[in-house]
Amino acid sequence: MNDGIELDIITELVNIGIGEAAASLSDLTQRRVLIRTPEIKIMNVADISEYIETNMQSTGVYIAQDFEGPVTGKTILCYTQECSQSLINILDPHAVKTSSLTVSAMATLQEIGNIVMVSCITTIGDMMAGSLKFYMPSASLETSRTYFQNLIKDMEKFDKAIMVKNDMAIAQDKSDKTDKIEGYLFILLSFDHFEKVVVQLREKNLV
Amino acid sequence: MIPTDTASLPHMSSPFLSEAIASELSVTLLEGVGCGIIGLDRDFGIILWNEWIGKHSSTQADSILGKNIFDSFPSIKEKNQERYLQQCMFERIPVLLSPFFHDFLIPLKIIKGDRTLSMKQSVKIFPVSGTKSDLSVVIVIQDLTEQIIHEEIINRLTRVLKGIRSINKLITRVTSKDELFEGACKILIEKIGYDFSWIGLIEGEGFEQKPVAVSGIKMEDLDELVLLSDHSDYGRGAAIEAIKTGKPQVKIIERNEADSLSSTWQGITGPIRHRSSCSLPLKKDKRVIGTVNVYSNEENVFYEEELDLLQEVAQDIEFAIATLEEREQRQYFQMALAGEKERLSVTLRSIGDGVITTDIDGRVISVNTVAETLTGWTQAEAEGTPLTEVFNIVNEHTRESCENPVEKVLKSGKIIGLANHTVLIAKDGTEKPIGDSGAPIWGKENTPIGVVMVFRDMSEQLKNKIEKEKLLEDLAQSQKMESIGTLTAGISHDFNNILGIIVGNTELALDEIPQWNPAHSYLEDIKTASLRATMIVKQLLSFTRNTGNKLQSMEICAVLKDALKFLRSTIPTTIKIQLDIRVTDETVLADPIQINQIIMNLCINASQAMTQTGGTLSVKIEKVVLEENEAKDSYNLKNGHHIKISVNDTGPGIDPAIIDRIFDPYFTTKEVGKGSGMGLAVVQGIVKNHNGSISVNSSAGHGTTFTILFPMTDQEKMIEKDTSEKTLMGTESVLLVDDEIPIVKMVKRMLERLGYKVNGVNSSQDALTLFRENPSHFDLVITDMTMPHMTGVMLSEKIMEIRPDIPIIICTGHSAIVDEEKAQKLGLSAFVMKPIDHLEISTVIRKVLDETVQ
Repeated sequence: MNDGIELDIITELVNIGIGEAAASLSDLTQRRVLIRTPEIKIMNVADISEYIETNMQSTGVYIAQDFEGPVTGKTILCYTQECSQSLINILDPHAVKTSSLTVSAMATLQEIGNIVMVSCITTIGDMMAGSLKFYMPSASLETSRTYFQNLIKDMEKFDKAIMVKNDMAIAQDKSDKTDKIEGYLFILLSFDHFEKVVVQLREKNLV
Repeated sequence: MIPTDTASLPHMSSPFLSEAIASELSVTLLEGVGCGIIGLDRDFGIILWNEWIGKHSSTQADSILGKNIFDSFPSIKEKNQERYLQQCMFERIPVLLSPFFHDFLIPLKIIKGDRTLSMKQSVKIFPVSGTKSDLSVVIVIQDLTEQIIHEEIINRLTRVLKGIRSINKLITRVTSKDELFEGACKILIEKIGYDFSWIGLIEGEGFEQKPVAVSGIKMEDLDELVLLSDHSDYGRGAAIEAIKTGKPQVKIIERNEADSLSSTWQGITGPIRHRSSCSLPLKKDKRVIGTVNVYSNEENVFYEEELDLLQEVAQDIEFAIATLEEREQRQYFQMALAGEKERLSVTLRSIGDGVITTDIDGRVISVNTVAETLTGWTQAEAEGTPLTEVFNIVNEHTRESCENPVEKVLKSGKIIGLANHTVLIAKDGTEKPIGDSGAPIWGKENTPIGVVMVFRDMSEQLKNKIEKEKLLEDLAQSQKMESIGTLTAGISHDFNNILGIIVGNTELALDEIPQWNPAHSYLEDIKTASLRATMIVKQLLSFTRNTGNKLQSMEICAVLKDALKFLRSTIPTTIKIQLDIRVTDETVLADPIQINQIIMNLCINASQAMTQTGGTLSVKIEKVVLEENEAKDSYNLKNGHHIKISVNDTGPGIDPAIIDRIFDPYFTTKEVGKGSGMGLAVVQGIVKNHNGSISVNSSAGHGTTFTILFPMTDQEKMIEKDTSEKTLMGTESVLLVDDEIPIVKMVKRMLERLGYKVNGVNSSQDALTLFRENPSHFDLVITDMTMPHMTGVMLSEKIMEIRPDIPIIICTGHSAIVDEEKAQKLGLSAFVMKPIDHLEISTVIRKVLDETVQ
């Protein structure tokens, strides 16, 4: 399989999912929301921790969601704490800026994360025969090292990861001015399921 | 994590759990869990309603089970939230609803204190497989109201803290109270988030205050507002209460009161309908001086913690006010001090004396302008330098350094003066005599903290003192000369009379006695001696400056040459004469006879100084121009062109011990009989009479030089008249009056020889009687001036009263009494000086008589 073509089609699928997510968020927030994906790459799960440690050194908000069905996997969406706080402040300018995010802020981020992740995975799931089942997402605020160390056991089930670097731009209230929020979305799959997705894409003549 | 499509929760089953355990667990969880759980069937009918939700909704399960959720809770559709349930139900996608975006899914009320609030909910909607039951969707509701309220409180308190931080920053940079108040109000609105704030200050002694800054509305709206302490709208607010009680006052306005209470404020604030307000007293020295007032459109926002923080804001503002006032006061004092310093500096600089101040160690602190000039040290150079370096003083005579004035002053603790003859040596080495004083500078605790030196350049004073002494000396000399002159004049008058008698009678006798008779030669000797005596008297009169001779414009060169040509025959041949005449037709106002006398006196004195050794007598005559300073300072003359006559000898010089006395009358170094001591005194008298100057320069062994300066004149020179007159005769009748009988006799004979008919009397009264008896008998009256009972002038007046046309000649030996000019003024015909010379009197008589006839 041509890796380049494979990546292209995955990128296309992810962008569709991200577009869906942006539309949902826009509907939710009643603001203009744009999500760009400047970088999508396929990497080994084992490399995620190092990658994220390099690119996101500070504490971050990690929202994880498992899904099962024709394809089983896990999505992890992460934003740095600063970005998360910025996102909350864009939505609520009077929100308090504390070192740890508040319960209500975490609930807000969790809702946003759910929309983004479900939109992306649903797009992929739509390509597969049978419907996907989603678990309720969980959210936590911690460092990348701690987070991934706690996740080692869970991640052993997966081999490949589709890394989607995403820049979310949300317009400020009653203004065209936008603030950019940078985040990472990882879609973790086993070899088999990754291969399954690729095969399915091929069968659908998308590759 | 709960899988979303596993067995339905009420009938939970799992490969690891028995159905019985699962069932019991389900019930336990459903009723024990601290959140609401609602189960829906595929038609959105409520089939599960746990105790928590029943409790919070006040709706028990039996009354709601089986009902459609949208019918039971219409707000779900109103809020367009049914899509989330549908999405979960049909697309099997779990949905999360956060309180931020949705507030709630199921409208529930909670009681918080005395308030009823709408529950803030975090909602999770799970799809359930429903394989063993009708359960299709499970809704889990978590109450986040408490957390959100706390977050809001924290949020608000954080903003207040930020506001305090901003006010603290403001305090560090504001420069005025206005800036502080305006900045603080702005922070209360923009940083903390209140709707309206103002700061008021009490005016006068009462409770009434006027807003000085405002934010949230326009200041113009408050410009004219004064908050009263009465029962008007302005007098019932929290601000007045805060002033009265000195404590923070919180006011909550119920919705139904909002429009009635504080309508004034509501009117001013316009669209801002505040629901709560807080007024914090501002205090200074425990006295309330104003208030900080904040308003919010939310109810009951001023919680205890927030109120505490707001009090901190007020305290910060109080601190800032105190700091600013202190700063203002300090600036005022600094400005006053700077002004005082400037005034002192200007004063010091304006003082005509030098002023130097030092510290206790004698190091210079300040130097005024005069001190800079006198010492040659600038303020910058002198500052910090030991006084002894800047103020280098020595004794004029011993050249020893004077005692350090700082030590001297500090030792005595009093004002001290410097010793006499102190000289200040400036930085460039120049020296100036100074007079000064030093005084301690006393500090607050009456201890000396330095010394101030005040000094002045005494050069001018010393010069003036010398000049004054010279003037006093000159005055004494002048008074001495005047006394001598008066004495001389009196003596001269008597001498003239006596000599007139001697000479006149001698001449008469000579006419009578033939030449062969030995008595003739004796008479000749008498006459010669008498004439010499006459000359001495004339010299005495010259000394007294009362010779009666008038100064006339004349060529000085001709007069001097005339005098000098007789020198050679007078001076011994052992003395060489050098003449250096550098003038030609320059004119001066002078009496030729007196100029001649000056030259003769000086040259004869010079030759006498060289009689023993021989030598050279030099006479130099030149024209010089005196500049103003030189003319005034050196010669006491006016500036301009002068004739300078220098008479120099190569004799032994004049002893310095006596040089100051050489012009004194009767002072002589010659042997008795060889000099009268009048020579130089006469010369000085003549020179001064000619408005000139005489000076002497002599040193032992180097000869003497007399220098005379005469001012030149622009007047045309007089034509010298022919003096070769002859004795003129006449036959007219003359009335002769003199109180000296011998003179009457002598003059009578003289006139009779000239052919006149003379009636001689020795009393003015007799003369008047004689004239009155027969006025027409007389053609001429000749009268002495000084006579007892009736002077010559008085007699003349009386005679002219009798016969105004009678010519009168008046004779006097003292020109001070009458001179030619005075005689003419009195209507007299002529004036003749005694002793009467027969040639002169004959000429005058003839002239007067002839003029009368004409």
